[in-house]
Amino acid sequence: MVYDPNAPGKDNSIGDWQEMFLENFSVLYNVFAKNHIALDAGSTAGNHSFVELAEQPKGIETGLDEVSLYSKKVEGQTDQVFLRYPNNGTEVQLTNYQIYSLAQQQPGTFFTMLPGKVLVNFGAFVATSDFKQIFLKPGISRNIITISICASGVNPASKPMAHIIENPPGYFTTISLIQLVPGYTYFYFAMYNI
Amino acid sequence: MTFTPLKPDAGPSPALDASIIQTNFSQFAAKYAQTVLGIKYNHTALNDTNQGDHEAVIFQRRTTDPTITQPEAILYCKNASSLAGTQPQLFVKIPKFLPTSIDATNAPNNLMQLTYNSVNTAGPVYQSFLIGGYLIYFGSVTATGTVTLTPAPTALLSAVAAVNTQNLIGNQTPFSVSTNITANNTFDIYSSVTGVFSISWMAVGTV
Repeated sequence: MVYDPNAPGKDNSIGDWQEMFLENFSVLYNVFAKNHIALDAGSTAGNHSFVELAEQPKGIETGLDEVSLYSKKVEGQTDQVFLRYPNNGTEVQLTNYQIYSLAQQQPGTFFTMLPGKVLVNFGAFVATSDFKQIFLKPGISRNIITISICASGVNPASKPMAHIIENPPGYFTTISLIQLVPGYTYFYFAMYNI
Repeated sequence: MTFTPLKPDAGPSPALDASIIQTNFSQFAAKYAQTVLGIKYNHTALNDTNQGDHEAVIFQRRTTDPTITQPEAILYCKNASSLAGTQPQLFVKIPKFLPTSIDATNAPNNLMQLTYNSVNTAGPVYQSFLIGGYLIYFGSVTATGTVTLTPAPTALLSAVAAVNTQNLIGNQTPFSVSTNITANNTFDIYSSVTGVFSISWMAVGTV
């Protein structure tokens, strides 16, 4: 079935009208149900079951009283959600990358995202005489914006300091630490652009 | 009145179907855009300026995650559990793109929780939420001691503190400070120097 916006025409017979209306109504019903509660579903009819944001080739224009929410392909990733402010204002990338568990790679560490293409790594690690580096996961950091490290425990004897290492070229994914106390647990936060 | 997608059908006289057709047009318009007490829901009504746009978007709570089969991002509402109970939250799902040449992790495109039930902008324990089912807390204190987080996270993952006050004792080197997580919603702050001073802190836990 195909929706015909020009049906019925003045030259169509009444019998044709019935078939045309039927087809258009059926299409309207089925297409509407794609992202919405069905038209005949009672009190919740018309609400959104989910919202599919089809990939857009560029940012969406907005009027004075509008914000737009849409998806766009991000280089090196996939479709992410964007927000554009009124009157063709600033476009903000709301989602970034894909969150996954680091339990296998680096237990005790986690990452999330902030609007504006920022990833946040956080968690805890135990310093040893050999382990004196934080490896930011995922290892896609182009620029580490800020780092905060704090010793854990009841005896604040450690003043850790951080040094950023570029590895591989163009990516700053390693934080080298000095003045750690072996056996101490350290909490950390790191925010970086990708 | 109900929208009837299988009408009109051949047989009955058009005169009998006229009311059904009219009802369908009427119902489509009514369900497409609803205005209740001055609030416009879901879509801008047909014949209104900007007809077809979205107004206040109402998400119906789902029990399953949608499947992505094309280039798109999907927003939807589903129940999520936390210490505060089980409430509907907003989620996003994007297409799978990992692994890549830079990140070898073969991560699935799992749903990502975008929201939580509350934020606290009044302090002294400020709280917001991060994508992925995390709560972030932050604030400052004027003495060492216990910080109690509300709403309580299920687990406290990290807590950092930094002293904002200059150490005027001796050679004026920076204070040492440490934190110690004592429960899912509490951690203690310790300092190498006793006294009244300003300490900023930040913590993250799971919902």
